[in-house]
Amino acid sequence: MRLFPETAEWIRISREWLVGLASSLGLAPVVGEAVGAVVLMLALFGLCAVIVMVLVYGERKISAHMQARLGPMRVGWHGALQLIADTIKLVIKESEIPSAAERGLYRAAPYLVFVAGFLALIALPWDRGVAPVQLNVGLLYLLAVGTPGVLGILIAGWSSGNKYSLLGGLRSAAQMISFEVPLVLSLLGVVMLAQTLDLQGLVAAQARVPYILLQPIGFLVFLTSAVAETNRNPFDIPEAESELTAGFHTEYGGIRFAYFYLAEYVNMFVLSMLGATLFFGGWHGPWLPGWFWMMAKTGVILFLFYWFRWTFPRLRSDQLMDLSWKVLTPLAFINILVTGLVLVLIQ
Amino acid sequence: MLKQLFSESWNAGASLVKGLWVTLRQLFVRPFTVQYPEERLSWPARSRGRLVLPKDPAIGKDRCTACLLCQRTCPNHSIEITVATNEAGKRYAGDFLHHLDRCTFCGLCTEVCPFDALRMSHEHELAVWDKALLKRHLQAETLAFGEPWDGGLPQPAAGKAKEA
Repeated sequence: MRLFPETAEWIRISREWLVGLASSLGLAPVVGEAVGAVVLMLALFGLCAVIVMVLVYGERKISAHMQARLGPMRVGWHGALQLIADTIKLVIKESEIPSAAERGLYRAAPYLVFVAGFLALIALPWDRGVAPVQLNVGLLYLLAVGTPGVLGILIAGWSSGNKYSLLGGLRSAAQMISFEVPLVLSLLGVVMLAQTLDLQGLVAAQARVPYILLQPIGFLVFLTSAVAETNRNPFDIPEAESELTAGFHTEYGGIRFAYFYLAEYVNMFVLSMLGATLFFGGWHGPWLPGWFWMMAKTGVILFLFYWFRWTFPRLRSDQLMDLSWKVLTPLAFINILVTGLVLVLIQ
Repeated sequence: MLKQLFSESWNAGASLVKGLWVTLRQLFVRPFTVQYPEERLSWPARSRGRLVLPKDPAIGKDRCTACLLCQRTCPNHSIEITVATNEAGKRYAGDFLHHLDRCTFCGLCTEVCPFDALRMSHEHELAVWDKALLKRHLQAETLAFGEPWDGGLPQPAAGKAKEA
């Protein structure tokens, strides 16, 4: 028994309304579809900004309380409007371009990094049957679309015209490429169990048992790689604010820097949502609407991100690579092997 | 070999969980932050704020006899006293100038004062926009505002007060 109507129903109705409106105005139904798509994208972009604000506020509050502090308290109720103030500050701030920078690429890099995260949001299952774009190979799409982010980071590091930015970019690229391997491999076990790459299908397959119970090793490898992939503590060597100040984005300021910031949090959100989809059973849950469960489960993984950040000390660069290639990748392979064996034995 | 690997991995994992447990408990600890302008800590009785020449209600003015001990003992020369004499030939501070910008709040002046005429109040929000406001004429302030003798400050020692 559900207390709320299905979100998918609402989306179907508004889509039909748009198409109907277009044809009543004497336009082709395609126009209605196109307007719907644009509205959807804009809404998603707005949602992105809101999500990032909530995430940053949550992070600042949680990290403050883990250190027995209060965090932002001044702007709005318990500092709730702090992020609005920060956003305004970043938007009206002058964005300098260093004279040594490769101007075109320097300008393009932040958007490239952001777009990589944004594209992933399109395919994620927000609710039962609800995704901005329904793909039957959604997981493959997600993993593929995250990759240009590395390229953006490299471009940002190189085009800044600063050797330390370049080193930072290379460091980030090495880390992100290394951790993409265990990240992808850790998800294969889930795919083998569900026999599908469709994210909706993957969630539907968890109606009885969420995959975290069947794939605990896979979840651990996924979580560790996801933390490293988003350059978060304890794997935040690309940024390492207490030691290096910053890496690839040293030369960025104002709104361009804000896009890197936005991208970091969007990526974090995407990977948390992916984790919730593949291991926590996505939108499955009693009474409340599916999107609520989806967001709640995403929030749990996000909390893990914050929790790790304030618990674990930062790893050295070589320890980081060791962890990826010597621990996580073999573990992911063993996980695949065991999953395959069990599947064969059961059948 | 394999056994060692497993025990080491187990210990590593256990230590990570231990660390997580510590930070999780810390999350529910009451924050120590004092929201300063609205919330304030109470000051310890002998904490040292702005210098004052309190008014002794018995004589209706401050107790300073212009002996200049405080002026001489001040390491930063932040006290400048203009000595004056009354009809009875008794010395008093015609002007007690305290250079707040030079003061380090060491409290030596109050310690050396034989009549307990100088005290350090708990007033500590002393920032001003105009540097000229940092030259404070303590005696004039005492007469204008009539700083009470105790005003929350510890009472002077009985022996010292009698001599005034």
